[in-house]
Parts: sequence; structure tokens; C-alpha cells
Amino acid sequence: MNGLTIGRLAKASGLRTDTLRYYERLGLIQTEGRKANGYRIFVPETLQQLQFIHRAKLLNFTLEEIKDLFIVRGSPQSNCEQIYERLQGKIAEIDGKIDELATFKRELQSIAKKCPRGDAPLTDCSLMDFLDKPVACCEEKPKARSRKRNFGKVCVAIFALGASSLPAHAKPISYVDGVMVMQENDETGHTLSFDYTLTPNYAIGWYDKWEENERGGKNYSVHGPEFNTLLKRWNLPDGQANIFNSTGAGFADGDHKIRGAAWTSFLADYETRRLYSSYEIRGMFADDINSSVWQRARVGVAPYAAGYDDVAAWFMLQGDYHPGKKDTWVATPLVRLFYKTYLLEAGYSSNHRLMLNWDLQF
Amino acid sequence: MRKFFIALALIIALSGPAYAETIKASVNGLVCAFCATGIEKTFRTQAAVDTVNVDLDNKLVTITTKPQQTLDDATITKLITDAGYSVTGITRNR
Repeated sequence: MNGLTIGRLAKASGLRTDTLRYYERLGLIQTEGRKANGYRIFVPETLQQLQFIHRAKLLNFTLEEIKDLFIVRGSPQSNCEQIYERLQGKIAEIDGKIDELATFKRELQSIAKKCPRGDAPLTDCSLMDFLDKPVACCEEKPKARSRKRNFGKVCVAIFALGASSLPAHAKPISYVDGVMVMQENDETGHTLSFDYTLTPNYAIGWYDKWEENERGGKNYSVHGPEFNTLLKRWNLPDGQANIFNSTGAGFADGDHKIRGAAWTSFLADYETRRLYSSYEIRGMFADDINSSVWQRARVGVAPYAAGYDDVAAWFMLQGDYHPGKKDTWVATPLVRLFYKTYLLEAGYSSNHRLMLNWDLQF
Repeated sequence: MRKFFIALALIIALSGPAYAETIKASVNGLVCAFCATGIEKTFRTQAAVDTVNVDLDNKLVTITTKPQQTLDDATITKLITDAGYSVTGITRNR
């Protein structure tokens, strides 16, 4: 064996032996066996691997991410694009942190403006006043407090109102025995859902969403079954109005960690053959990765009253309110087209994201 | 022979209309063609139905049955309700 013992490796790398054992447990470094006395023997390349880990850590990569980089590096199918994607993910994460720090800075500047100087007693100091308050007045807060607040909101939404997930462009209940597939790509992320209508008032389905965390800019995904309910419908001579709820629970995947997730949403809409309006409140709770309640409203007008066999066209304006996001208010002008059971929407949001939604009913 | 004619008369009498029937249902809430396709799909699952036409302008669903077949009002109302709409009236022509 040409390998190194843990003691020699620790000396050569400057790391503690328990750190090396920890790296070994994570699979970052490998042994090639043990000596007769039971001492680990590390493969000869281990020192280079430790240098790689050290440099990656300097660039803010986590150990899990470094392990992932080792996997990419070791795979013959890997290419530069895969590394580039990871770099972009890391840059987005850093951007998120910069935004968060900028928010904290603004908050501190705001407190500092109100803080008297000189010999004024500490009781007049705005920072002390701010920290003593049980609930701060400002919108952005340290993470733990914000999480608690959002969790409360979601709980209220889930249990008192029944908050989430409805793709806002179509009703989540179609006709008995009908199946609807909806895909939504917009400034909130990417959504895919399937719904099967059991009765005129109930549908079951599966919901997948890939999106950025409301605060940190990290990507995560949510998956799970959901239950859709038509709470009330008004069929009028020249219009139809509805209130729907969609509630689901499953799991969220982010930072290589799985958490429980729950979501709920209420959608109210009213439409005639030429006018459309809707309002939706949605909440998502996914442990530490995201807890948020946000709202969406739409208004639309059709340039002509399309017949049953015609292509229908709508011009719509969608407004989104995300209290926790950098882009708190987002407006998206869009065009909706549908023909029979095919529906397509395309738009461009005020925060420069393309919207492309489609529905299929069968 | 007499029994045969009686049996034949009974079969004819019980077998429903001899010709196709056109049924018009007036429907509330009929504003969106994308959603109203549910009506067409729901009726097409019925063996008695030959054609279905949805008219958004006049808020009418017109169903033509196959010869010697019919759909009763309760079934029509249920099918349209299952598709998410309300029936306000039904008329028939043979």
C-alpha cells in the first residue's frame, strides 16, 4: 500500500484527524483499506482531494456541493455545462444573500436615522427600542422571526380558510371523469399539475412546483397530491362565478434535503364571454426552505365573443404580490388563446420573466 | 299468430321513439368554450347520443339521439350538472 495513514495525512494537510474521519464518512475522501493494526490507509490522491475541498470551501461551496462536484468530475459523461449550471446556482445563491444583507443594511440605516447622538440616554436609542419590541414594525426581519410569522400566516390560511397552488389560469375542476393537465412557467417558477374530476365539486390531483425561495433565491421543488373543491358556483344567464379551494401536502426538496410541505389556495373568478376577473390567495409552508403567502389578481377582456368552434383570444393583465420577495409587486401582461380543449398563455412580466402556460383537457 | 302480433306491438310500443330525437337544453353559465367542452365529452359517453352541439350565443346544448333511442330529462340535467352548468329548460322535437 502506497497510501497515507490518517496521522500523516493530518500532518501533510494541516487538518485534524476527526475532520478527516468526518470527510471520509461523507464520502469526500476514500480509504484503500486498513493496516494490520487497524489504522486507515488513505488513497494516494487524498491530499489533492483535500486541496480541492479547501479551495471549494473558500468559494463558499458546502460539503454536500463539493461531494456533488466530485461526482461530476468522476463521471465520464460529465461536461462543462454541468459545472456551469452549478456555478450559476451558486452565483444566484450569493445574489440572494447580497439582497438579504442589503435589506438588513437599509433596516439598520433606518434605525440609525432615528437614533439620537451625543449624551442622550440609552432609552432614547432607536435600536434598543426596536430590539425590545415583541414584533418589529419593519417588513424584513431576521430569518427565525420571519419564519415564525409566515408559519402563523400559513396555519391561519390552512386551518381557518382552508393558502398555494392553483395554477391561476384554469379552473382546478373540469367535468366528471375529466382529466386536466396544466403547466405554468412564470416569474414564480414552474408548475405542473394533473387533476381528475370525481364529482362536479371535487377533484384529486398531483402537484409539482419548482421555484425560487421567497427570500434566499435558492431553487427548491414541492411535490404531492392535492384535493380541489368547488366551494360555490353561480351559473348566470351571461356569466359564471366560482370559488375554489385547492389544498395539498407532500414534500419539498432543496439543498439536498427533503422536508414536509403543505399548501392551500383560494381562487375566486367571474367571467362573461368578453370580461374576465380573478383573485387568488396562495400559501406554501415547506419548513425552512419557504413559508409564504402571496396573492394574484387578473383582469381580462376578449376582443370578440368567440363561438364554441372558434379560437378564443383574451388580453389579460396579471398582478402578483409577494410580500417576502425582492420584486414585491409584479405585473404581467399576457395573451390567452384557446381552442376546444387546448389553452395557451404567453406574457412578459415587469421583472423581465417570460410567461408560458398551457392546459390540456381530455 | 294472434299472440305474435300482440308481442310485436308490445316490442314496438316499449322500444321508444322510432326516429331520432332532437333535444334542446337551455343552460346557464355557458360562457367559456374551453370549459364547455366538458358538456360535449360527457354526452358523447352516452350510447343513445348521436351528435352534440354547444351554442354559446343562444346558451343552448342541442343533442340528437340515435334512431329509436332517447334520453330523459333527469339524465340530461344530471349530465349538464356534472359538466358544471345549470339547466333552465328542455324542449324536444321528433
